[in-house]
Amino acid sequence: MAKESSETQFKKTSRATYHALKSCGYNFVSFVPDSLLKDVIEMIRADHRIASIAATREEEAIGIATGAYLGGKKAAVLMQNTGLGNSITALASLAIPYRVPLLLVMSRRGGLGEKIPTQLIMGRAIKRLLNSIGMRAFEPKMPKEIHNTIYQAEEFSAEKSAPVAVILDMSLFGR
Amino acid sequence: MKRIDALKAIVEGCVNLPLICNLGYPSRELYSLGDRDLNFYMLGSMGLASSIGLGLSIALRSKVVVADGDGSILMNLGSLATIGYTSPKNLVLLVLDNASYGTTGGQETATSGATDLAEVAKAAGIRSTRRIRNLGSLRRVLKEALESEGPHVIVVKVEKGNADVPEIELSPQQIKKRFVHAVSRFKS
Repeated sequence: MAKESSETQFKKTSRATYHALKSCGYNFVSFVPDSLLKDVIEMIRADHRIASIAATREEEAIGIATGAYLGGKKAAVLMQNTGLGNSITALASLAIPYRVPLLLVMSRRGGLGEKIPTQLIMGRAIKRLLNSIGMRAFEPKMPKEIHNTIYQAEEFSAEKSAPVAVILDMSLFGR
Repeated sequence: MKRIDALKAIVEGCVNLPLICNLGYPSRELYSLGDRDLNFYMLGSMGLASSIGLGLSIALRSKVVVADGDGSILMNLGSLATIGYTSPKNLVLLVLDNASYGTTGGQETATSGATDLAEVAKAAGIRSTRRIRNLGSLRRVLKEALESEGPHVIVVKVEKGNADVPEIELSPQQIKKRFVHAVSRFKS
């Protein structure tokens, strides 16, 4: 019973994320695979109106998304929060100074249900890391907030012409 | 061949095409050869020239040219695999290989030994790879690459050393704004 509701929540959160990205007009996504975002990634891959590229590393994903933006695409980057460590230089010396309005969608591991100890430190540090390079992070607390939060993040990003992050905690995925 | 001469041949070979240039002296040398809105000078994010080029090639229908370096591509070898897998027909990636980290004091890179970046690119699934040692072949091979389906990786062996050129007097935002405007006519 509990497993079933967690699966339902996983699907709900994944669908809400995909639909919000789509209705905000994102038509390019680069990503590094992640188990929480796997359904979102699958829906994007199946959508012929969204071009997507799987990167080998998160900073590469930011480089690719920046290139797509320069060419006129509306670009988002999907990653697990651990990948933020790999992204800091690309954000601080490319996306932020060149004012590239990327939307970073990060799943966050390291919450209460976390079984892997190596996830804990980045899980706790993520918001402070983003803030320390001057990046704004938006964080929906419940699945029903996802749509509005992504809209707000997109609006902020477009208005400031700056990269922003949306953090999706593992609890939103029923994990 | 000096790197600045290679850059001159490249920029002359890609008139009216977007050119992404690796950070440090390569961008400064390119800037000194004659500034263009279609030049995207990197001022940071070492290693990402080929990735920016890949993303741009997906968004545009024109050819996209990247002038990367050996130290830079060695920082992001995964990018060659992504390019090999994605296989964008309009991407021309030139690696100006001086076998050293030219901007940071000339320390040797792995290409000063046995590492061969054209072979790495080939093994990453990029079918069209070339190795060039003189200006004449650079001009010819670049022209062929721009007229044929890619992706192409062209490793250009250049001498060590930097030209005595000034800093780039543009802000990142200026570089971006005019570049975005200049490439907008190539949107796919």
